[in-house]
Amino acid sequence: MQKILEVKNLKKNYGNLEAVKGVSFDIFENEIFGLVGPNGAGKSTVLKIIATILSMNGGQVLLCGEDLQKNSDKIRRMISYLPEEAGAYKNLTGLDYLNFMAAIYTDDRKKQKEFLEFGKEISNLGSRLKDKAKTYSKGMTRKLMLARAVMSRPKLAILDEPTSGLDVINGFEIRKIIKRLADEGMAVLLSSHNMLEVEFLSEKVAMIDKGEIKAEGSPLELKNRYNSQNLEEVFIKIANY
Amino acid sequence: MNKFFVLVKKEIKELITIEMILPLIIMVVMFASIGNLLSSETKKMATPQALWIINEDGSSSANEAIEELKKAKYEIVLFNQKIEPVLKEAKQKNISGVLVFSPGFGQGIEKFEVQKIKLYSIVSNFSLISSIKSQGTMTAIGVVNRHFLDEWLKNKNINIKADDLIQPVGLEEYVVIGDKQAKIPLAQAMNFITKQTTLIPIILFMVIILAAQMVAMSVANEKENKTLETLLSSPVDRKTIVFAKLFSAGLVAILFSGVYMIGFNYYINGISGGALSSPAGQDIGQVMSDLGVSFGIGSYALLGISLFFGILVALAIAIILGILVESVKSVQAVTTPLMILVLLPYFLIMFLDINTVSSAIKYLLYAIPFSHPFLAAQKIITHDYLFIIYGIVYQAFIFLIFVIIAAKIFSSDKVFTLRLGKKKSEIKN
Repeated sequence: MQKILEVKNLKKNYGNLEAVKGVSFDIFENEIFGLVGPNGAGKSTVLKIIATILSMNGGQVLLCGEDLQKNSDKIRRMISYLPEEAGAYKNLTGLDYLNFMAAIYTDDRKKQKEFLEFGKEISNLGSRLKDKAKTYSKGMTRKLMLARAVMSRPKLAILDEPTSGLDVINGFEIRKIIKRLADEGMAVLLSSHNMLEVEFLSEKVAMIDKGEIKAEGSPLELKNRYNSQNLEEVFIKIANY
Repeated sequence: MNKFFVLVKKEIKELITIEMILPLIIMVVMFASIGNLLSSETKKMATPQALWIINEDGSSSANEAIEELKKAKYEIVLFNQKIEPVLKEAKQKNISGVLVFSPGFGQGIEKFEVQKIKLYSIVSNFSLISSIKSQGTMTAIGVVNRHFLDEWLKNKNINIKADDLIQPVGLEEYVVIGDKQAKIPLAQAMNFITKQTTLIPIILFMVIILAAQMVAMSVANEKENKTLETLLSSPVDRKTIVFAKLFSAGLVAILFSGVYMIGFNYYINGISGGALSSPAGQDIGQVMSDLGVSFGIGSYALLGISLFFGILVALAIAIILGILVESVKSVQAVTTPLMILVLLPYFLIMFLDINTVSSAIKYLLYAIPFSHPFLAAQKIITHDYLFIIYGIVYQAFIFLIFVIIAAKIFSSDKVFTLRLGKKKSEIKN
């Protein structure tokens, strides 16, 4: 399997605060990698650095062999980032929004059309795509956002808390889509503080706390290693809460 | 370039909403209606004014006075009743005043004794139009006075006109602008210039504030909705994002201001219709053109360029201010200093003579980039084109500085970490 993402000793400071203290992990194609930890652990910061919107204070990030610090423009063509609780442009329809983002990702009209069709399929919003995004429920907005994030079929989809605040049905549908995309070859890096969700979704999990990765492995490995019923228990044990 | 237009299209779709258009249409219709109403009221006032008179005296002098008023284009209605029923009827018919020639009026005039005419001014409201109408009635007294003064002078064998006696020294006014001069009253020249330039500061203020708020709101909205994070992680140049925002907000602001301008134009023409009109027989436009005060295409183009750079500076500052806020609710507060920077030169230039103020105030004004469009409107009149061009170059320089700062912020973490009133360490991680 091809290595998609390589994060080596990543560091990030906000003033005097060390938000990320030397984080390292790898992600391969077809893989869903879950970054789990409590609020303020540094998950979103790691994701934002990989998404090229925050700079790093140390370490290296390679995407398909390209150095993020040297080739951020090239990297932006290979990734897609879904921020936590992101909204769409309120006065654009769902369709307008997908069209707009497709045109941002490629100048090729044919490809734009392909992206749009895939986005429409993933969002599964049907005729509601013709309505303005401000009329959407939280679940619909999230589906639209996820569709936008994956419609360009990026090498790596970076999803920050993809099901945060969603009801059971919408959460289930989003998880199903993420699984399907990974099966089709996409690498997914997702963050969540919902450990049960990550356990269900991810092949590999990194547990982050106070800017450091405390443990990494498949959910089964971690549970066996720490003699726990689920990832929540694992986290409590390794973080000494 | 393609992505720039994709972004511009998105920005314009976000900016032009029904919530934005509706108040604009209402405002324009309202101003146009007020303007039309005032204009028609002004026209009505120009028509012969009705004047009700009770002639209790009936002397030849009173009749002469009434004839003089008729000659002065007053529509006279005579009554032989007591004042109360006449006033009642006048109120019903919206007549502004009733004159009463009391018994003994004619006898007194013949004896060269000062007489009094009773004037009942009927106040039904306190509007400007009502006040102007009352002044029209007062003017009638002047007509009567001049007539009897002429009569008294004739009877005393003094060969002089009443007007000349009252004002023995006349005024022949010349206005000098630059090296040109013309025979025209100063008030009329100033009125002409005011009419030509009244809209400039209003439009300037409106466009700058509107554009600044739009762009600041757009950035704040993107931050709040996290669409900015999505956009900045996508394959589009950050500078293109900044320029697309500036261009779209500027374009929409100019468009909206154009519509406002049409409404204001109706309004200003309505309120100034009478006051700024040229006296009969004199082509003020031609006289002013002879003076070199002609607002041709070149003048308006220079003004337009100065205004355009004023808008660009405001936009570049506003985009930075938009980055500093966490939510759209704070946009109004954060753009207030910018509004003050626009208002300050507006008022200073309106009330002060820039040539006589202290050097400190003068240079302060010159340093504010928004002063230059206001100053340009004045400098065009005095043909100081070099000053206007220097002003434009200065504005372009200031714009460049702020746009570089904005682009640098957008290309760094600061677009997410810069904020007002919170420490950087409070950022969510």
